[in-house]
Amino acid sequence: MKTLIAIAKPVSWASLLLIVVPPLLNFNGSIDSSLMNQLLLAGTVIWFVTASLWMKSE
Amino acid sequence: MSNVHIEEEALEEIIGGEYEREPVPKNALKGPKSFWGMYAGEHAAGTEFMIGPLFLAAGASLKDLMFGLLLGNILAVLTWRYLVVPIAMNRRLTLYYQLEKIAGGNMVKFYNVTNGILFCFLAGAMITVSASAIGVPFDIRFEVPEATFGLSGAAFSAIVMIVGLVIAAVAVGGYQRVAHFSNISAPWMILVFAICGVVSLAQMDAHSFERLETIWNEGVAFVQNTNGKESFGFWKIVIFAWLCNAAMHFGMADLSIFRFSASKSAGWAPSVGMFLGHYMAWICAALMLAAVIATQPSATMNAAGKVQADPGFLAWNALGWTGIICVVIAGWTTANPTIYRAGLAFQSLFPNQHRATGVILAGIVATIAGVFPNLSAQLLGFVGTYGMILGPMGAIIFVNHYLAKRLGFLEDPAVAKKSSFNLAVLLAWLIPAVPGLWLILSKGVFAAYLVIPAWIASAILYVIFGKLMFSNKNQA
Repeated sequence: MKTLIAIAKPVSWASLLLIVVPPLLNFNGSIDSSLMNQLLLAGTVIWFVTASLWMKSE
Repeated sequence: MSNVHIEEEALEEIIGGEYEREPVPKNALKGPKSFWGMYAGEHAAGTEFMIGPLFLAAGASLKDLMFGLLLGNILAVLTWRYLVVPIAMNRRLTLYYQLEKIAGGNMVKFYNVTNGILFCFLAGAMITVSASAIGVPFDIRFEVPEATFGLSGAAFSAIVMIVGLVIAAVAVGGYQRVAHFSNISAPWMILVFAICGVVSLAQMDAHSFERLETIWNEGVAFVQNTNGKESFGFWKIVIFAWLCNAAMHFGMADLSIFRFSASKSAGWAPSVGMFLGHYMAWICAALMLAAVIATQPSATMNAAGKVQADPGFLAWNALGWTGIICVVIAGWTTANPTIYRAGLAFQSLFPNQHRATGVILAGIVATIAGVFPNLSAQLLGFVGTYGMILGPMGAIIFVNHYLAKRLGFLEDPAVAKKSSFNLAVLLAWLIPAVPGLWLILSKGVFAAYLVIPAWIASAILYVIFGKLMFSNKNQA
C-alpha cells in the first residue's frame, strides 16, 4: 500500500496539469474544445482515483 | 458562497462536541496554518455557479464587479479579523454556548431552529444547482418561473426530488464521508472554477480586457432588453460581497472556529476563501454566462423568453462532462453537511428522538425548497436576508463582551440569573429583524443593505433592555 500511495501522490498532482494546461492551450488556439474536454475529463478521473488513495491516509 | 462554512475538521469541532461547553484549553489551540488550509477549501460551493452569473444578469458592469468584489471582500476579511477573532480568542467558546450564557438554553433553541430553516433554504438552492447539471445530459433544462413558488418542468422537479432525497439519505449516515470527499475534491474544484473563466474567454475570443468589456456590456444589454432594466452598481456589489457571509462574521458564527486560534493572525485566513470563492469563482462563473450570451444567446432564454442563469448548462457549455461533474459535486458536498447541521438544529426540539429524525426533516424541507427554482435564482437576496436575520445575534454578543460591564448591566445574564430565556435578547433580536424582513419581502429592499442597520439597532436595543432588565444596580 505504501508503494501505491508513493506513486499515487505525484500522479494525482500531475493530473491537475490536465485540468490547467488544456484550457490554456485552447485559449491560445492550439487545441480544439473537444480535445480539451477529453483531457479535462481524463484529469478529473485520474485526480479522484489517485487522490482518494493518499488523501485518506494523511 | 456559501457560504456556509463546511469543513471536516471545523464541523467535527462545532457539532462533534469537542470543548462544546468549556473554553478551548491552551493545548488544543491551533496555529494560523490550520485556518488558512481550512478556509482555502471553503467558499467554492455549488452556489458560486449560481451567484456569479446573477451579477451579469442584474446589470453589473465588469469594472464595478472586479473592484466592488475586491473592496467588499477586503471589508469582510477585516470584519472577521477585528470583530470575531478578538472575542473568540478572549472567550474561546462556541457561538452556541456563548449565546446560551447570554440568552439562555430555550432562546438558543429558537435561534437554532431559525438557523436550521435558513440552512434548509440554502441547501435547497444547492440541490437545485446540482439538479440543473444532472438534467443537462437528459436534455432537461431548469426553467425559472415568474412566481417565487412556481415550479419548473415536471421532469426537472423529479430530478430535484431524487437529488434531494439522495443527499438527505447520505446525510442521515453522518457527514464524515462526504466531508472527506469534499476535501479530496477541493483542489480540483478550485482549478475547475478558474478554468471556467479561461475557457469562457476563449469562447468569446476575448484576448484583451477592452474586448472582454465590450462583450460583457453587450451581454448586459441583451439581458436588460429581454428581462427589463436592473442596476447593480459598485456600492451595491461592495455591500453584497462584504455582507453575504454576515451570519459568519457580524453574526459571530465563526466564534466556534476561531476559538481554537493561537494567534490573532489566523483572522486573516478567510481572505483565501474570499478571494478564491467570492472573487475568482464568481467572476469566472459570470464569464460563463457572458460567453453563452455572446455565442448562442437563445440558449440562455427560458420558455417565457427571459434570460436565466442555468448553472448546469453554463458549466456543460464551458467544460463538457467535467463541468457537469464539478457542479454536481460542488452542490452535493455543500448541501450534505448543510442538511446535516440543519437536522441537528431541528433535533434540539426533539431531544428524545433519533438523530436521523431531524436530518430527514431538514432533507425534506430542503428538497421542497429546491423544487422552486426561483428561490435559487434569488440567491443574491437570500444570502443578504440570511445575514440580516442572524447578524443581530452577533451585535448582542458584541455588547455583552465589550459594553455590558462598562454600562452597568450584567454580563452573561442567563448564567447570572439562572435563566433559560432572556427576553431582552429576543426583543433586541426581533425588533430590528422582523421589520427588516418585511422591508425585504414586501418592499423589495435589497437585503444586504439592512444587515448593518439591523446589527446596530440590535446593539442599541440590547443596551437599553439590558439596563432596564438586569442592571447591576437592580442586582445589588
